[in-house]
Amino acid sequence: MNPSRAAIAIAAMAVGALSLLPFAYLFAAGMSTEAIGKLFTYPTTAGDIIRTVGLTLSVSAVCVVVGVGAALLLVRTTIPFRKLLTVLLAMPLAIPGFVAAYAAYSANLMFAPRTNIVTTFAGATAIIALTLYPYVFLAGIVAVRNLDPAQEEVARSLGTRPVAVFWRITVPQLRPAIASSVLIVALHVLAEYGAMVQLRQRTLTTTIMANMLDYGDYEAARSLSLLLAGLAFVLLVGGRLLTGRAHRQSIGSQTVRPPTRARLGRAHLAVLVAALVVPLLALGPTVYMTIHGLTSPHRQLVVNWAEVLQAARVSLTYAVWAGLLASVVALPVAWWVSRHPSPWSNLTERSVWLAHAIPGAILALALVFLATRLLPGLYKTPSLLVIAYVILYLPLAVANQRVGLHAALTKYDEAAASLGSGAWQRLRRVSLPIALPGLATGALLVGLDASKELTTTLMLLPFNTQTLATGLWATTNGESLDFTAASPYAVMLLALGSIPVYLIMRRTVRYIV
Amino acid sequence: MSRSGLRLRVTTAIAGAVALLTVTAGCSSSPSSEPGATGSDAATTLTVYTDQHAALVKGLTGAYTKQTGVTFDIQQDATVGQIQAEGDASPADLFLSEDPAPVAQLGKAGLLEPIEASTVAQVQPGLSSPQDLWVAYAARARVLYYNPELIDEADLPKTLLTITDPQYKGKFAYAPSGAFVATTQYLISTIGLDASTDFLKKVKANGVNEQKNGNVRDTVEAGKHAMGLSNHYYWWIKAAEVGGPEHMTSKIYHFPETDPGNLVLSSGAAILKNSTHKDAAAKFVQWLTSKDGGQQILSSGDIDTSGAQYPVALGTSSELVGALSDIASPTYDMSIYADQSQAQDLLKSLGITT
Repeated sequence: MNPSRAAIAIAAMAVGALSLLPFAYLFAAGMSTEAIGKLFTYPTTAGDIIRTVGLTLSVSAVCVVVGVGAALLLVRTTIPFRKLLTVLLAMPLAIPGFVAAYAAYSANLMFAPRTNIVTTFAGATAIIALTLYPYVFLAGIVAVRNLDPAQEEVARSLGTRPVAVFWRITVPQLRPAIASSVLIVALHVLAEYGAMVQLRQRTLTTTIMANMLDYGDYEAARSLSLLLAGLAFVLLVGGRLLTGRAHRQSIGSQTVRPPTRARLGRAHLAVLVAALVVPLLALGPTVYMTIHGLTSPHRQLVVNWAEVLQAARVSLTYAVWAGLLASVVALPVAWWVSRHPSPWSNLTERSVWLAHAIPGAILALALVFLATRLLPGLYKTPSLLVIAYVILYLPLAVANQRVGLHAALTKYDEAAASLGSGAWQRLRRVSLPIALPGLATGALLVGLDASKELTTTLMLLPFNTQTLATGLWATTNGESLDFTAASPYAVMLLALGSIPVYLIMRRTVRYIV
Repeated sequence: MSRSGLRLRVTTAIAGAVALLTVTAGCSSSPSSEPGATGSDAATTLTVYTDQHAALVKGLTGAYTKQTGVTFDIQQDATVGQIQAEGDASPADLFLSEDPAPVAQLGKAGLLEPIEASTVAQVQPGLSSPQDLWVAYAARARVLYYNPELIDEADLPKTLLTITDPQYKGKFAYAPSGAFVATTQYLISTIGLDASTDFLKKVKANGVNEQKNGNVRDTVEAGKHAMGLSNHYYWWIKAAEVGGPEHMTSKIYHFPETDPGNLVLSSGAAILKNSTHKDAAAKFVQWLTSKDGGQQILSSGDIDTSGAQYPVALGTSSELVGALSDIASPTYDMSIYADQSQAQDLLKSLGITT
């Protein structure tokens, strides 16, 4: 192993170890298997665990169907208004999950007060999936565009029916490409708190939070977090087995031709309307409730726009720092695992994902515990909060950097090496520029998620500071979202969130036109 | 794309990020200091940990800053867990709780500095820690909301324990919030574990768990349920949202006799043993509980600063929600909330919460 490769490996392993640091807290602060054992004596526990697993699977499944379906529609058919549709379909990324859930719940109460639509398992699945499918959609567009049409053509020319071509050629090629995004969705579901409570779904995470907030039973909360981490571990290992290895057999040149688009003919309008239903359902309740709140005739509260703008500036600053720092920290991990796959590099990459699955409040407590003991100077400074965001959202950076590094084919790297170029030089002059779009997407997604984060932020935020998410939360009095007082913050969150969504989509849109 | 073009884009991206950071760097907040304030406390900054409504704490501390020049560092949504995780390094001088449980737990853990007896004496008896470990500065009452379009006031249950009677089956909502856990702990300590278990079993069978007090309010208001067990102030917050109590469909009902359904829960102020500003903290708590100090703000009709809570100083009453002395709550020792494991076990084993 040459020295620079060793340096990258060591850096990557250090990052992996650091992201496991929150788990050190779980052990240091004390846990008990007794608490876990006791949990199983309660009648609802089995149901809650089944519901946790069920929601994880159902939301992931809906996200795959909607995300990949939308990507296929935009890349492989002649559907009109493709640019507009792409941006609309990605926009739900800008809405925090708990806000979307509150809005859906409020809309349910407003229009059908005596029905339970959003609080059923199916309703909750739909609401949560509608906030998360864009992750799969984004990866799906790139993956569908990179499909080699030659393989499908060969299969068809051999007499294979279109449906069989889809299942036997198209799907296996897509699977590894969207695997990371599905994992991101699944881990989001496992750690989701606010939306689950509002949609009346009891999961392991809501149980952990109830133990913390309603009972002050932190030992039980920590013990259950370990159980949750175990579940995430199974998911991470299982996810790998399920997706298998990336295999790209290509026919002829490496360049992928533009796709052949299925003609929709007279179905144009019907398909367009059907495609519009998804963003309408995902954005509609939040936008409607926000506008309703802002234009309420009984409005008595005076909006302090200076405070809202200040919160927006704070959110933006933290988000930019989190995006940049996460990108730097993720790079050795992404590089190592995509260039030198080995059990060690894979293990390192997986450990980065694990912290993504524990509830934000537990991660925050871990950082409170560790920072006050190890780095007291950092406590209650923006730095510690940015570090928390980096630990939480590192997988988003790693996953997207891998896509970018995948595009920067090893061949180019080898060609440069054969011309005598050193490792750092190759990284700087060959791979990095080609991988830049993937890197940028990763940074933007980290920044976006950081600006929406609530539970960790509440605990680690410097004194007397608000982000848009905590400012919005402060208007709830810890209970139901009052869309009158909250709407200025919601408007700013949406406005701020649509910037990274637009930047990401600007890159992606060229895949579909 | 040419290499120079690529390099240009890399440079542009980095330059853009740097520019953004420069623009936003201004918000590395500088502690606000009120000009014009004088006195020996003027330079003091008190660190307040609180899980009370943000606007209420902001109103109270803001008024104190104006009068004395003492400034505040405020940790919103604070938990006992955060203070314990911080250990000896905790910067907290004070804890202002929403419910009695957090301050009772801090007191039991030996983390609190006792409050001066003269301060506790400003407050109506029975609301603060009997050992003076914390003092009540506000209070909330458990109430029953009802929707007159669905049920007549005359038909409402006369006591909390009769809400499980057959005629109310399927007609009421509840939420296993902190106040509900407290009510459960109170019931266990008064009517015993068996009777409490019996009652809660029927609550689960006959009522609808709406998970949050805000949801209980909204569902009763929307006519999904005829009645709902909740806290008094959620209704007032909604009333302010829609333009006043006259625009509300639902109404607040207090059980007619002294009853656990009218249970009063104190919001407590406590001084941490670790505090490095104990004297300044004690002065603030004295002001907070004084009729001419913090209690004035709680008494005002302005819901944004009073949070529609009850003031607790002797002889005070709220222009909005009335006097706490009018609430027929049982008198009891709120230290029982230092350990709620019995309530926790009961609610969990019945599957009401997890």
